[in-house]
Amino acid sequence: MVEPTVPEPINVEEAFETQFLSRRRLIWRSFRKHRLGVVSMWILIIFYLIAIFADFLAPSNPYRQDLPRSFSSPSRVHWFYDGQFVGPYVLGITSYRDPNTRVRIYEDAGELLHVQGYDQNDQPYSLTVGADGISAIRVVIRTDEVARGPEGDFLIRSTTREESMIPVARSEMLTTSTIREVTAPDILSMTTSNPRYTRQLAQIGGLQLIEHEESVERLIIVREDGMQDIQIATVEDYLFKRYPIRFFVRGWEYKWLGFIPGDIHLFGVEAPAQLFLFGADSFGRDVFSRILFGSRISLSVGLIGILITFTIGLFLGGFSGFYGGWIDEGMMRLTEILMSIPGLYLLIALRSVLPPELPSTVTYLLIVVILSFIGWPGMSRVIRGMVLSLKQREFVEAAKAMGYPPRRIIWKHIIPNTATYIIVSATLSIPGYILGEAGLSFLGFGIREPQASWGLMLSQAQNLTALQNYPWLLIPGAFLFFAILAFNLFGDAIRDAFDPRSLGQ
Amino acid sequence: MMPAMTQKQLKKIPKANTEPLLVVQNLKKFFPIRSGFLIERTRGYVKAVDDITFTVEKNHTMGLVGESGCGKTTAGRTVIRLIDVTDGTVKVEGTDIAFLKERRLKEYRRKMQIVFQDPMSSLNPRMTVGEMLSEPLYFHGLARTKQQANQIVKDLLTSVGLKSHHMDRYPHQFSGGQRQRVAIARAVSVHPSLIVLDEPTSALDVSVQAQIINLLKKIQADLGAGFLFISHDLSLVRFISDHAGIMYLGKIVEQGNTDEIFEHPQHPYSQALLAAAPIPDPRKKRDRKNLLGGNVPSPIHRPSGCFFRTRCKYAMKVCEEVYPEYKEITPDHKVACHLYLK
Repeated sequence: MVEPTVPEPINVEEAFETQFLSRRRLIWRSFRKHRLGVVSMWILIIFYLIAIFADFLAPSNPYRQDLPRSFSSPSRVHWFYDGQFVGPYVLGITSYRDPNTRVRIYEDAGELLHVQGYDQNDQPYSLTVGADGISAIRVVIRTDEVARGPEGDFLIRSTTREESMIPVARSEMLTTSTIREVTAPDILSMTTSNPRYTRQLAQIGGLQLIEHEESVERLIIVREDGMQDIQIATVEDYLFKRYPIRFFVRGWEYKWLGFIPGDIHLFGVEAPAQLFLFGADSFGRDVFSRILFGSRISLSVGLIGILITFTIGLFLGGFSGFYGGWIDEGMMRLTEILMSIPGLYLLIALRSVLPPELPSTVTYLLIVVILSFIGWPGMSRVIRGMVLSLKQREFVEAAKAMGYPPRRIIWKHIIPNTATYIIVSATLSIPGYILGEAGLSFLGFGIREPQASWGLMLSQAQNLTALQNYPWLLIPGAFLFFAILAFNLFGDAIRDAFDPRSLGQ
Repeated sequence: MMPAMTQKQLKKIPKANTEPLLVVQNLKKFFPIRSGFLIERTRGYVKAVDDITFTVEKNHTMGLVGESGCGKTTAGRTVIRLIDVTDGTVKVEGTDIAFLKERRLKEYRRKMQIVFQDPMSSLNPRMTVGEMLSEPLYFHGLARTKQQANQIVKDLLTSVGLKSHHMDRYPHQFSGGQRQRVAIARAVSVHPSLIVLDEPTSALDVSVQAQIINLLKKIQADLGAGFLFISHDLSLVRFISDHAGIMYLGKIVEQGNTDEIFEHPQHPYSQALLAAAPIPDPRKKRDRKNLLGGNVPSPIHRPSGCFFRTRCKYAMKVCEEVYPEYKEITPDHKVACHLYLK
């Protein structure tokens, strides 16, 4: 009898590895070769960890509104003070409304921690918050505005205001007066005690502002037992209060996963300072914290959605493809009907059947279910097609000849051969679900305020004003982009890794 | 191609003292042709298998030969109920399974297995060889634990000429001949009494063909199984079969003892087939007189009467009207031809 020869392996190492590595290790090894896939996997792991640990990672409470801080720009984190490295810290924030664009502009402002100099009587003073019972030092800023009147005369308006903070950019007003040259015509609204003069001025139109001068006039020292007032002449030295960014701080309280209470956060600043890493939205809420919490909804919608869709699609598609006949015909007609209804209207119709005031978790689940409902007909049709073609393959006939029941043949033999399509389809569908949820939330049918989801946050950045003046509102879009990209690349790598043809190489 | 056969004695076929393994009687398989716009109507039938009768004994090989489209593949699949039977009886170990319900058929599935022509598509690309071979073991209760299954699988692999470490490989990592060995191992794993071999070597290289055929003979000796060997390769069928049947458009035109048929073909079609087969012996002259002309008629519109008459040089008037009945010319040698029905 002729002895059959078995071809020798090409190299010993490969033979060794395929001989002794388990299938899991082989798949992992094949996956690792896909660099982008591995990177994407880590990105997704990080995103999902963020979603799980959002409470811990968020420095601010995402629901806490701070309307005076509406549309605050991202906080500037300083590392040096007076040329020395002191670690990361933030200062206070103050704001003013730009008279031209009517946009509120936020700037770093410092609270005085220490100030020393000479008062108007040439007496030295040295004040430090915390010493001598001083709890705060406030300033009175005098603003002189000079304009040219209608008859060529100069009109001066002096106002004083009491502030607890001084804008850092103009902190020289402490030591000198700051004079701001006006280059664009500012409209100065003048009011005088004489109403007739006001009416006259109003008839002419706005006045052209020439100079704008700010200086610190007086210091108000707040003590435990009362307040004191100093008219100052010069300020020699001052220190602003710094709010260092600390790690593992106690901050706002949360209930992790809904029932574990805690208040420790990865990083944060002490009240009343706020850390707006990505700025604030229209309600003055920290965008960074909202993104962290929004990841929960946006990322999980995709996962749960495809789980439902794929289960239904695989089950019904496999069933109808394998059995054929009336079951198949009926299933196909049903899916055709469902697919012919425009998706958007179906979504709205489904959503409007349900009562609008639902607790947010229920709303969320409903959104997922509705999205899955739109997706399953397409899925089941493709699976049915694949099952039909796979049914003809001889290994299915061999399985029949072996006596396996149809259920086993479908699930163990046919469906695994659709794995390639399933994986690719899953990674392509998840972004669709995420964007579908965003669309629903935008229309008001999905996640509503005050919950956060990336889609909802993006919808608030929809107008030109926002894009022009508050670009940080678009940062959730970057997160969406990277999440979707990561899913696609990860899916590519997974599909290649699971392909048995790649395991041997 | 197998080496030229020399004059041989008729193969001695042991007398069956037990019931035959497979008795096929008047087996018919018709495929309806449906067409129509909104309402489908059956306009005709493709008579893929039209009234064939044969027997397979234990330890015995029945060969079915014919050109493409003659229905031999359909016959093979119908016999083991991969395709439903239109009419006739198929008795496996005495029981007629032709119209048995699936639940009762299940216990017979184990007894009949099939090896397909294309080794690549007959193996599930997503399963390892080990998984493929151990699945029937678990399903039919031949192995309970993983160790048992692994041991049996290793023995199976070595018995078909593979190494035991091939268990963890995927089908695409093998050559065609090796895959066919795996397919054979799978068929053998449940110890069937009947194995249908549907052109098992047609997709393989010539040298590998020889190995596979020898392997099959060895397996037959070990299992004592009956083989239904379907092929279009005449010399192969001659080598391996004890009995043979030559099919044309769904009917067996000549059947009987292999050597007898191949030495003394009586039906014009058999003669033409054998004449056309190349003989690798430069001394033997080619029999050019009997070469077959024309094409095989469409199975949907078969000629009336004996449908070989369109290409038969002995065609007579009666061939147009009536399909000839079987005539036993010599013991164990039947022909369906009007030439012998005078």
